[in-house]
Amino acid sequence: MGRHPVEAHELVEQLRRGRSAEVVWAPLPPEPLPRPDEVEPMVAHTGLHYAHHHTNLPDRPTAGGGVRGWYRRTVGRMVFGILFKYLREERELISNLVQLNDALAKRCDRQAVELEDLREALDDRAVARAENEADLALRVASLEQRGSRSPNGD
Amino acid sequence: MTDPPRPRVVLLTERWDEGDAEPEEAVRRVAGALARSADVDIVTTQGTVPRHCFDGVFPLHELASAPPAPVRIRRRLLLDALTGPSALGQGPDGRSCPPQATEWLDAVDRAAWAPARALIAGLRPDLLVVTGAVHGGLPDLLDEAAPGVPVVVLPLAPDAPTLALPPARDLLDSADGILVLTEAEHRDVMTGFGPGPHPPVHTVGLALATNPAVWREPMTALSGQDYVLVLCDSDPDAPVAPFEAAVDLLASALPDNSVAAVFTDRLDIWRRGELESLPPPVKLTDRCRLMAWARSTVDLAPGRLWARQSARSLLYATPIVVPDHSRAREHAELGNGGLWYRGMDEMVGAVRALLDPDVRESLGTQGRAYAEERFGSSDRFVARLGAALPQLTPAG
Repeated sequence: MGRHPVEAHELVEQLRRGRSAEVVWAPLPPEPLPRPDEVEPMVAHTGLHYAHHHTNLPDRPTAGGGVRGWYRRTVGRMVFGILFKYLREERELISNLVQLNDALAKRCDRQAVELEDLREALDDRAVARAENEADLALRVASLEQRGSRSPNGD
Repeated sequence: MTDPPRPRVVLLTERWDEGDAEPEEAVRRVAGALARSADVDIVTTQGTVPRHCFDGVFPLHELASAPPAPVRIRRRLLLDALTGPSALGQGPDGRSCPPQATEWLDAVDRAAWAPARALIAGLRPDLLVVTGAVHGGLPDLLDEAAPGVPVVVLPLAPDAPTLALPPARDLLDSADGILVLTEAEHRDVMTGFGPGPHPPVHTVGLALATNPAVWREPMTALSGQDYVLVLCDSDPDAPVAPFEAAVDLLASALPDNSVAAVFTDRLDIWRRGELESLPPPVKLTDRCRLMAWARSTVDLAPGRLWARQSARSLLYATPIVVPDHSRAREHAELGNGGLWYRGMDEMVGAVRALLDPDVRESLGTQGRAYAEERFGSSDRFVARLGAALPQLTPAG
């Protein structure tokens, strides 16, 4: 006799319990990758539109007529004369910043398109993989079904 | 002082030959056990011309009255249709057996056994033993040929639906005793009787010889290997593909063990993914040697009557793995000598469990004790038969 008597019935039940406790495998259903809610192109952003229309700052003082206007033009010429170089650079900077925003917006939109293409490719791949796994599941099920029958057909 | 006269037993059987099938083997072993204490005449419908001769100690009366081959085939097909899984909607009580089928079976069987009437009357037996359950009209014939002589039936029925057929019911209901080989067969017989009165039913088991010489050495091709034996050759007519698939699965699941699979035409040995095909074990000794040295014996299609290969494996202390719905489960369950499965994954799990040396040793030892008790001793088998048949003793 072995070290301990073994009850065949208990052992069979134990094996079946162990089997039922195993994770039952099944193919995962394919789901599309999550998409952001905001899909508006960056080039259509209202801020960019405003920047385009306010890029060109005035290069000379503007004022109305009369003594008040003459006084403001005189002071303006004096201030422009003193700050002309600075203001010109300021305009260049703003113009470049707007161009940079344009380029960033275009690149951002292009990358959004590429990201969407990538998501679609991944979704297609997930579907293909799920189909492949479903086919595998069918083969496994067929094998188990064949095995569950006694080979002599009983 | 002279010995009391030995009782005379007439044993009726459709076939009496050296066939290797379970029913034929059971009939010969029962006849041999009866011959210990009685003179046993064998009456069979087989043969091409009527003749009376001897087969060993047995006077053999061949009636040559079996139906012609086309009728035998038709009878076999009809019985399969009436008892198979899709048996015309029939339940275990046989309620759907059409009257025309019963009449036809009766007519065929009456014609086959008719020549036995005069023969049995002339033999003047003390006991009649009928082997097989489906013999239409036989109760009337026996009552006419040997009125008052007890009739004992050895049904040899593989399932309850066979015992539920009207000809079988007539025979069992009229019997004075019923001998069954296993508890499963006992259960099927009792299911047919229901709660009412019925003849006594005795479970007598059988006797299988063992050969201690097989312990000396394993088969050369498997020497020094831990292997699992798979038996796939119970039914030579069964399709082999499901067995091959099961063996492939087992071989791939047990890469560290060899798997030896016995088919009708070959012995396949899987070792570490390599397959070697050898001639099949022809001699019983070779088969027993395979069993004796195996870690476990997987009987994929056990015999439908008493699952003798599983019983034989247990006699060699090798635990068995058998299908859940088979007569072999009785050996595994009652004897605590093996495990049973419902599908191939459970089969693989059971075989793996038996690779544990302690589990294997415990189940093997327990199974051997069970098999020794029921199938391991001719003396015990004869004693059980004698206890079931008091007519065998002069006092009885």
